[in-house]
Amino acid sequence: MSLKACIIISLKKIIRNKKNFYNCISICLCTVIFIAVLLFKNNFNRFINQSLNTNIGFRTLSIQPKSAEADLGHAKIGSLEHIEYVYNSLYDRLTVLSNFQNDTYDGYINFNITSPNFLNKITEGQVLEEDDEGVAICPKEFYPDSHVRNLQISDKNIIDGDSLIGQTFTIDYYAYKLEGTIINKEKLIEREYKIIGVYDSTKVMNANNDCYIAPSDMQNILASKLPLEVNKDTYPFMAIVDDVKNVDTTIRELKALGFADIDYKIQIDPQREDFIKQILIFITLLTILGLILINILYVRKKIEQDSYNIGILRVLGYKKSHIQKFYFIDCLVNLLISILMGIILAILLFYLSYFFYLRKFNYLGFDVKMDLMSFVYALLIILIIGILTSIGVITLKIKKQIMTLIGEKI
Amino acid sequence: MGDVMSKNAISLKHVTKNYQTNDIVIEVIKDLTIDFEYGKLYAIMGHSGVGKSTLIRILGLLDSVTDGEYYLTGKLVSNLSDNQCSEYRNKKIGFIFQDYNLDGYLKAYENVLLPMCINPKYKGTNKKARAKELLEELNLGDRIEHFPRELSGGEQQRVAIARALANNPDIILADEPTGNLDEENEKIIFEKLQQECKKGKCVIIVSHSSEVKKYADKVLEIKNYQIKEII
Repeated sequence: MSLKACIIISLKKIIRNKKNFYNCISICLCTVIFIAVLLFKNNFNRFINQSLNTNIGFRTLSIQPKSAEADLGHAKIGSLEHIEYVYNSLYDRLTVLSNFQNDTYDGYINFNITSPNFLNKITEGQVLEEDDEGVAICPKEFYPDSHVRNLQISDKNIIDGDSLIGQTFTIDYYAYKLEGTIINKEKLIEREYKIIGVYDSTKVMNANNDCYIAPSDMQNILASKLPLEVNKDTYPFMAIVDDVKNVDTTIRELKALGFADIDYKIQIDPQREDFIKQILIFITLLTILGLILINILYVRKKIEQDSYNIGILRVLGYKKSHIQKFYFIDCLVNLLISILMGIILAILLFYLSYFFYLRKFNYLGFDVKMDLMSFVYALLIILIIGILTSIGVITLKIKKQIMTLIGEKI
Repeated sequence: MGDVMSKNAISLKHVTKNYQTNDIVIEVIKDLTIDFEYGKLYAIMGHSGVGKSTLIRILGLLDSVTDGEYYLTGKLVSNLSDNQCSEYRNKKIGFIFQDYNLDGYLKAYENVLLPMCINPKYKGTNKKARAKELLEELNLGDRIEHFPRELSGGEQQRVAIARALANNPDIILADEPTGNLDEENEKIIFEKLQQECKKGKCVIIVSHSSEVKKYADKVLEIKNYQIKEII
């Protein structure tokens, strides 16, 4: 029997037999799950790698001060080759309430400080000086709301940072005190800030409500609070390393200088990372198992239901090898149609979820991508599993003698 | 391979067929010697359980003989392998069943195509045209694109006959071909088989219908493990 004739007859029978539909749908869903798992895995790995390389937190070290030294070790840390900037972690970050607050935004923005060198590289417009006061650099796509990290940004509410350059806004800084069971809010400072420049938050994986102010300005704001309750000598230093690849060397150098307690500002939790990877492996294995079972049951049932027709084909002179080839091509064509449907469905679902949700990762500096290799791998894995199980079941099932197949009809 | 006279499409020489169930041996055919000639229509009759179906299975190479020799178109076929039997069935024998046995997912002409798909004689030829031609000969020209479920019993049986004739076999074996049909359709079927017989084919029909006697050149009856010519 020619391959062409086999394929033509198989295609006709697949299209005309509605029972194939359920198998098509099952394999199609497995394909979608497979592609989803692979896409998630690839994007997850890319997100981690990109975070390591672009998020400055991964190359910022938290170092306990040395009380024995006059400046608590600040000068020694700053003297190291790869240290770009050192500051007290007390001044690292501050959440303030701005007058952007309205029905759309809750108005909370974060003030940060960082290495002026680094900041200058990512800023458009005027740059910050160490001792500037009342000026800020905010994201190009500005969203003054504390929910920004929950990806609850609505595109239409994004403020074009460029249009804000030169404009001013006011901030209130509060101290919160627990008195008995009541939290009392005490306004410490009210200030006016002028936006002198904007930066691309996606390039540093910052949230869209993260602004930068000058280090001295940060100290001034916090000075209103410090005398009340804070001893700044107990706060670790934050040291920014010039490149993520120099972090390990710098840690060794710091230890050699006698700094014992060194930590990362941001670190990927290896346990959580492993857990996510294990879940992905589990889903993958479960899908493979499901795929094997679906295929075995489908081919088995198909041949059992078709056993009489197989008998007739044998009566018409078809050899066992002809029938094995015929059913194998039938299963293969069915498999290919199902995978193709799965790929189309996966692409559609990806674009839908991208349009409604995933594209919001762009605001965290990460673009969720659909890579070709995920589709190729899914196609190959499902095809190989399908082919192997089909060959196995077909070979085992089409061993029967004609008389067993057609029973007592003749 | 042995030699037999060329006028015989089928020759059975001292054929015995036993079935074994556990320790019990059941004798169905005993020392049967018979020839079936080309160009003749044979009707095999007999009560249920006398071995009619067993005989047609042996003749159709669907079952093997326990003892004796079976010559098909002059060749000894009693010891052929499964694959060789398949080739013989495809090229030399056309089967017609009581229940038509058409593939429900294939159209009338596609069912007729099935035997031709594996016959090297038709490789590269227009098989669809031949299938249509055969169906037209059986007055099914307007039913070519129909599925079996869209055809009457008589029409389905005619499609089955077209399928049996697709590879232009030397021998046609029909097992109760009119068992499910009315008189009018029975007549059409028997006439078509008689026509084929006149073209030189050997047609063997197993039937309970007495109508078959009108068309048969020889009527055989199986009784007491033996086959006897009654007309």
